[in-house]
Amino acid sequence: MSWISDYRYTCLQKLALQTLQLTGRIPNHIAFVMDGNRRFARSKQLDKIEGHTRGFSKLADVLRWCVDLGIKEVTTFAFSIENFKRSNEEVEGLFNLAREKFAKLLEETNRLNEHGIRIRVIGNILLLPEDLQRHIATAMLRTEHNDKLFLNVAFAYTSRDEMTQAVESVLKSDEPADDEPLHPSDINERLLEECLYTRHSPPPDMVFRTSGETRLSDFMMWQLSSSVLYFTDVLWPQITIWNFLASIVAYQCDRCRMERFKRGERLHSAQLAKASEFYSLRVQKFLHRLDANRRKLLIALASN
Amino acid sequence: MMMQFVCQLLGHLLIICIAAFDLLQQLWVRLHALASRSYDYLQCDQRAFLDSALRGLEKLPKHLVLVVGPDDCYVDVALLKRIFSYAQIVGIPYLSVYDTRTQGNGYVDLSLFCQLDEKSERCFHWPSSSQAKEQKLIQNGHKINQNGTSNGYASNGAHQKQLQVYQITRADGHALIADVCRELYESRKSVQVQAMLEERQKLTNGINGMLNKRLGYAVPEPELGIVFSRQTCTYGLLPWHVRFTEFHTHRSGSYFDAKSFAQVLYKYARCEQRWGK
Repeated sequence: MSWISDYRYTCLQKLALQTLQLTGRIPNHIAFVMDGNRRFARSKQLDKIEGHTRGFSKLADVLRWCVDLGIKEVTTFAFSIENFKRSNEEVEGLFNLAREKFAKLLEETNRLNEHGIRIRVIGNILLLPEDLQRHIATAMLRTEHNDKLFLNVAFAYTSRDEMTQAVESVLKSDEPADDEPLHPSDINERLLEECLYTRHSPPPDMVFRTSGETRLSDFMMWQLSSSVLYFTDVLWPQITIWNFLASIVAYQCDRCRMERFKRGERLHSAQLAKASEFYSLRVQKFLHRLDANRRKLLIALASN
Repeated sequence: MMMQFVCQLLGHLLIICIAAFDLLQQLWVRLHALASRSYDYLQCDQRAFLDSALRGLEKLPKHLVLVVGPDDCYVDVALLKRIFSYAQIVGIPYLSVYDTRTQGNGYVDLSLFCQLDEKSERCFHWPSSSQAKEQKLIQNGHKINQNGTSNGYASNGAHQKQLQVYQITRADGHALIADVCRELYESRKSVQVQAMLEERQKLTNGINGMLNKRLGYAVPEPELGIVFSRQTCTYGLLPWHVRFTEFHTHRSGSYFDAKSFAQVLYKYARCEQRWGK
């Protein structure tokens, strides 16, 4: 498959992979900020788009390592809304790369279904060109019943836009007048969390950012409040399986220390749900409507 | 089967090695902290050091945020005062503190040593007006050491402005965004909210304004964050405001002095913000 490479492990790599699997807790969900493609291209005197292409093939390797290690969900930051500020040539080049990769993915739908891989694109996809919207919506709909590995691609995404979108969903919630509207007391962080693009995903256990930058660049700011942040100096196209395994070891060390905080967060979330009638028919109907509307939009985009 | 056994054995060895390394590292860090503290006590002038070390830095943050992890037991009033003084020396005007620990478990209440702003319930000033006067007096008649340097970090007066300090709590994070959403929802039929709903950017700006009003923030978003913990994590710090904040982790237990502060500022000055470009 083009999105998941046929990486060939050496004996030592196999041994390391299995050792980590057997002895420590493997994160359920990892989020990657794939930074450094352009710096890599510059250092090798390549075209910027070639840097992004190499970055994509590295993603295919990383997805293979994640699958083999038993990681259930991967989120990658592919294109920020802020990236629209780049030159037209580069933005168009990135869109062409995305067109090519999504077209390839659609050709491989049977294999994706065989492996149970579900593709979700998170972000404001209405900002993208129409043909790309169609590819993305089709890929999401065709894989929507798979549940073994979740691959979330953040495209035309910023966290601030995502939070605004969540607030917008609540404010527009009483448009169909026949249902009981939300009560103001229903609105809290638990409800907003359910209105994010990542509504059906657990928060990432670890955020992995390459290229030595130690900021989050408006990526999953809401979701990563209890995630271990792992920053490495290596440029994304240059990361090796050893860099990846080192991050897993770091996560395994940090996880125990984070457990108490995470438990507190879970407890707080459960208490909020109980206090605000989160499980009431009114709120659940609103969330059901939200899902239905999002699906309707995908169907409309796919049939454009 | 044999392979599994070998892997398990290797894995346990790895865990033991990591645990031993971690323990030794923590011991080293504490010993180093003890030695550094004695050294600082005996001789140095933090102001002169910071002034010379940071001369010519391309950029400085305007707003620094300190995040204290729930497992940290070394950040106390004394350390915070020291960091505040460093920030004052280098000329950082705004500082926020997010202490995730609970009362009785190390939580530091800023009202104990900072002066509350008369107009705002959330903003503090450091040093307080009386302390600032004392500092001036010391500065006018301060003692010079044998090595020609002066004692105390506020003994010289390039930056005399009081530092504006904010105490961030857990309720200022996700919960505050939810509060803003609730307020907007209650007035969703109003002309203002309907105008915001016409375009997403308008709604973003509206939320931003309401959040800043509630936070009492008339300051730029934090550009630099120092996390005092064994691991790097935001612990739910202001999800709306710290999207472009550079985070640096200072391992719990290791000594934080003017040199550590200068190092963080150096790293910050070196990093290039591309704003998506």
